[in-house]
Amino acid sequence: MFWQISLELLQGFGVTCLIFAATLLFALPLGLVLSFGSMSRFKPLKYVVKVFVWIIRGTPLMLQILVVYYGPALIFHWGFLDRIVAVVVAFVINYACYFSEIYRGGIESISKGQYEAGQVLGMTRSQIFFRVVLLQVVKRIVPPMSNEVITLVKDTSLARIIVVEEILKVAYDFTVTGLIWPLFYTAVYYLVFVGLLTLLFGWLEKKLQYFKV
Amino acid sequence: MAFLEVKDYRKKFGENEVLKGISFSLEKGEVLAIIGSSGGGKTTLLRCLNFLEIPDEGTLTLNGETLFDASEKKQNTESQIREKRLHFGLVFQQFNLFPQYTVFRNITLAQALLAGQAFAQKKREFAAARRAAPKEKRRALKAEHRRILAEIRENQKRGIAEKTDALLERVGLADKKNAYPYELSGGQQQRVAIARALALSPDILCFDEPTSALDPELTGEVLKVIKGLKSSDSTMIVVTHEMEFAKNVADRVIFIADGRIEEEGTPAEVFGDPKSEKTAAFLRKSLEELF
Amino acid sequence: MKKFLALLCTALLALGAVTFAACGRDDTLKVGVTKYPPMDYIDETTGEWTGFDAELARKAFGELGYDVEFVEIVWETKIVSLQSGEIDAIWNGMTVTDELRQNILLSDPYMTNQQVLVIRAADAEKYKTQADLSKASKIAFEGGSAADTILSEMEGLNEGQLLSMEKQADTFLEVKTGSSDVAVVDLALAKETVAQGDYTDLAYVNVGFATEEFAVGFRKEDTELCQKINELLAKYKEDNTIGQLGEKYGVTV
Repeated sequence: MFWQISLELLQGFGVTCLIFAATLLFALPLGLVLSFGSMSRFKPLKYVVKVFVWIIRGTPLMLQILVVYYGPALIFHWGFLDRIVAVVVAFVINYACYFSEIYRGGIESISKGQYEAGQVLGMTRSQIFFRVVLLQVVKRIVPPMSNEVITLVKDTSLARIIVVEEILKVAYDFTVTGLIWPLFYTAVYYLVFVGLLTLLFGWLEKKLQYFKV
Repeated sequence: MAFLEVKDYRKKFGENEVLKGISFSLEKGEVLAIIGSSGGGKTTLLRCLNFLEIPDEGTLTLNGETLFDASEKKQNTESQIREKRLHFGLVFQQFNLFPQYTVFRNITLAQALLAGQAFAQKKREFAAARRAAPKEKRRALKAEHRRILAEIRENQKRGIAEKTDALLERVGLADKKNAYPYELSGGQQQRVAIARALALSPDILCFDEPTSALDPELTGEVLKVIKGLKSSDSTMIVVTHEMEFAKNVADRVIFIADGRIEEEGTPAEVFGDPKSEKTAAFLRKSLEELF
Repeated sequence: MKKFLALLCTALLALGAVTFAACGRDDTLKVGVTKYPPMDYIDETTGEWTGFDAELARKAFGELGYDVEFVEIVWETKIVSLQSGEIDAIWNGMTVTDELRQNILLSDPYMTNQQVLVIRAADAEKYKTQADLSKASKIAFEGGSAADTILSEMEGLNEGQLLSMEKQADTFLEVKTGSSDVAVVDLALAKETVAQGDYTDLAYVNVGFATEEFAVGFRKEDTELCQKINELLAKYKEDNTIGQLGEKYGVTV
């Protein structure tokens, strides 16, 4: 019984991890694109991105999931995305916006002098970004990023709103059959996963301690 | 014709005209000191020489070749500007070392990137040559090319390392090769920055108030290094507020006020017998600050 | 970077197009359900939806020539699910209310239901009549449910006693842990739940609340389908199909 339920919860946790991994995979680069957009010298692009980020950060993720899933069908009669795809789309958009603000803060905190030093040494813009600026940005954003990423692990439980079988939904369904403990037992899964992430980020921070910015 | 000739440089930021027509010339191996009160346009002039700012008007001739002409917009694209920059080196007031790299890597980075570009170019040429060659010879050619490329890379590496070691020796930091910038004093960081600027062998090396960000007891070591470069024939332009340094090291001095060259001449002329009332007032004031 | 962005957009669009295209076959009828034993639940051995409602729905729609596909929905957003076309019908022990009637089309009632009290078995002496509810420190119920209507119209209760929750299943945990003293839920669900798992120390009491009716929900424009289901439901009452199903699943019809 215990193992049976552990296994079923593990299946749910697989879905949780899938949402987590897919979100990071797409949101990390998309966030960088958005951050470049929000820092663009081309004003219209800059304001479009800023308004977009404002809307996404200003509304609940749960609402965004509902909009992505039901919106196309209700407004355009297009039909439905696969539930898990809808969840991932909503998560990617939401987290890309949060990431973009973190990136922007990190990039803007690098002094102009670093860019100019690269310029007078004849480096191209991309050489300056990748060889000089990027690692300094990474060092600065590791702490806020680790916060966001850990929040993401737990936000996956919102997928329940459109009946995606993530771990908390699986556990909740057990309560209908009279089993309460699986609900609280899910904490073990979350804690182990977040624990691993914490170790990973700690290791990364330590790796980057060899220089000071 | 002089080694460097700057003619009628003008630069506006919005409505504010910072350079109002600057012209001067400099001979090879000379040291030019630029003095003047802050806000007068000294730093902007230096940034224009390094193309960190693009002048609105004016021309620059280096070694007989017109390097920059503000009226020829087409020739001033980003990649062209980048090539022009390589003729000049710049040492910043705030050093601007790359914090994530060791002293050695700070100095070699730009050289390595340029060498990499040259290497890639050679590789492309070889590949084209192989495609043009008859089929049966290609295999032999490939082995040959591989050997030459490996040799080139090896030579590049050794060349860069030897040059960098020599530069570190020259600025007196051979023992700090593997240190990170945060482990160094301000004076040491500025000496690394000088070595970094020298690494690309610029025709003209510029200094933007190189000692202003340093504690007084550390300015000496940096000035000594700059002075040492003079004897090795580098052409240098130094924006400074160290009047003693300008007097002793510079071959020529320019006093800039309000975006114009107010006075220019040898140190003896400018410091000993200023013709302009503004220059005299500035020199009096900086003397007062000293005591 | 621009190339990458373009690639990302294309990939997402393509993914969307594929999934959008995959839905909407005409002979399939999607029935919205929740895990709500004994009306709708998943049989552990077959992995198929089953229960009183599920079996009735499969039979009725099957007779009309549809393949039935059960789609699990979130009960709070059932109307959105129906309007958006995620499902075509709701058949999940849905109690008829005026509010529902305004938003969706309801079939004729196919069975009656009643709200009962769920309490800790140890409190059996304490809660025997409707009036005893005033003794409870907290009364848990599902917001917007039939219980909600009954409790809000009842005299002698104060606002502070009422605890509106997301779903009926949550109320059992409230009572078991002692956070609330009483839950008001459907008879069928109460009967099923207090008999199993961690909830065997709970009991239900019928205090004679007015009966209510279960019906099937459709989109307002699907009047023809609703009419056909009404005819079938009348037939199933006549030939005792519904009565037999009730016995099979322990539901009082």
